[in-house]
Amino acid sequence: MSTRTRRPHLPRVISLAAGIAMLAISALLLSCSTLADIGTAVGVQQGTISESQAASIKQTASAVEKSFQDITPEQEYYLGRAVGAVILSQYKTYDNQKANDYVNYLGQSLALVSDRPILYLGYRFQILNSDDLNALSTPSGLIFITRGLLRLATSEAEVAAILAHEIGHIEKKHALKAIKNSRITAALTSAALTGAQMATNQDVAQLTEAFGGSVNDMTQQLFNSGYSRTAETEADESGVTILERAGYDPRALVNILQAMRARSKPSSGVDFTRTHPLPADRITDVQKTIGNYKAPGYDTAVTKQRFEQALSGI
Amino acid sequence: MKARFLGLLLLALTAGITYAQSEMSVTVKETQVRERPSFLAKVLATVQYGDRLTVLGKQSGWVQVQAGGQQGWVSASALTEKKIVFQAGSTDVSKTASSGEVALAGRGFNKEVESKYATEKNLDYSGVDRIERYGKDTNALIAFMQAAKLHFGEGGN
Repeated sequence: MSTRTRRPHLPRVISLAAGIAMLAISALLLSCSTLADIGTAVGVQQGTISESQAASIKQTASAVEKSFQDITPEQEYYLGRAVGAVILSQYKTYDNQKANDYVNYLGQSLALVSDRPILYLGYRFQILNSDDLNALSTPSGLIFITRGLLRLATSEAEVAAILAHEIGHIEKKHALKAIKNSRITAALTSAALTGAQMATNQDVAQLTEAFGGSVNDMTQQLFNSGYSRTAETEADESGVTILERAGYDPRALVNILQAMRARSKPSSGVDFTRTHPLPADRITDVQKTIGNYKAPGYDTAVTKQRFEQALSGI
Repeated sequence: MKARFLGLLLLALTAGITYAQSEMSVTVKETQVRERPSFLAKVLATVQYGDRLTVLGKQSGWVQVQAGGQQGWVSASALTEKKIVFQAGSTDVSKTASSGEVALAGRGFNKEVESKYATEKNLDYSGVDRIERYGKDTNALIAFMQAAKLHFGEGGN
């Protein structure tokens, strides 16, 4: 979900640190012709690899620059935890256990029917104490939803629609795609070179720099630039699929988007319309995706009752 | 003669492919081996990050495996064809750097990098740690899914 009434800003210190990290990486790039050169130079200097090993690694590594596809679930986990910590430096949590349990069980159930039911640790859901209309996800499976957005939902299926959309972002690795390939190559090549023995302080410093840069790429996208229209459409499509597989009426996504449209003011800025598809456009797209869906004949009494019990006071 | 040679070559190649796919590694912290390809099926065993499992078959989103003495099903999203190594030799290192056939566990972005990053940025992880401890009650989750009589957990694809 991307409609919000107020956009939080990253603390200046993070942008500054990212700037310094960028400068440091640029300096390295100027002195070495490829990223494989950087890694192998460090490895040889420290005596962790021989000259001949370095030569063979350089030859092959430079041919295979790394991308977000090479990030393992374990790496995703650490990247996602950092993005989660940054989100929690912007938002306070809403700590009503009954409401959070409900959102967790609902979200975890939906994740199980997604194309990526299992992550390194698993999916976790947390309500944020904010009136914004916002939901955010991290690559490690942390999904946040604001009280403001939950208040708009009138049924379990509508809450499910928001969560399913966020699971869609994780399934399609949208956050990871924001990370510059150069950082991933630097990190994974460095990881490989130090794999044979304990990493040195210099290795850890280099990795931390690539890590900080990667986290910054993702949080910039999350808070400032927003996902691309294509990414939002993909997440909506995944959301519809997940809802249908679970047995929810996918038209719940249309309903919640309509509620968001009624509350948001898209005329408030050019940036908003550029970076975030208007709810109206998304509604049209989602309706196309749903097609001639026929609602299942399940009894909604249980979902109605537990939805009201968990979220009536939200 | 030529055809026979090509046939043998094809056979060798196919055999090679089959062999390469006959083992997969667990790519998540831990996951369950289940009696049937469903998240609602009985848990037979728990496997850990890096465990190598023999592949017996595949079915939409699930892989049938041999894990120790047990045969069962693991969600395909928890497995990779890469070999995951904890103590890498030089061959593993160059394979990781070049083809990505090997993943080095605990290397790259890890706990140590996270600690250094948290200190440098003065970033508080306690909220994230607390959220991660939530929602681990599998029985409550199954009860939640079954109460609504929806189709939760019946296959990942």
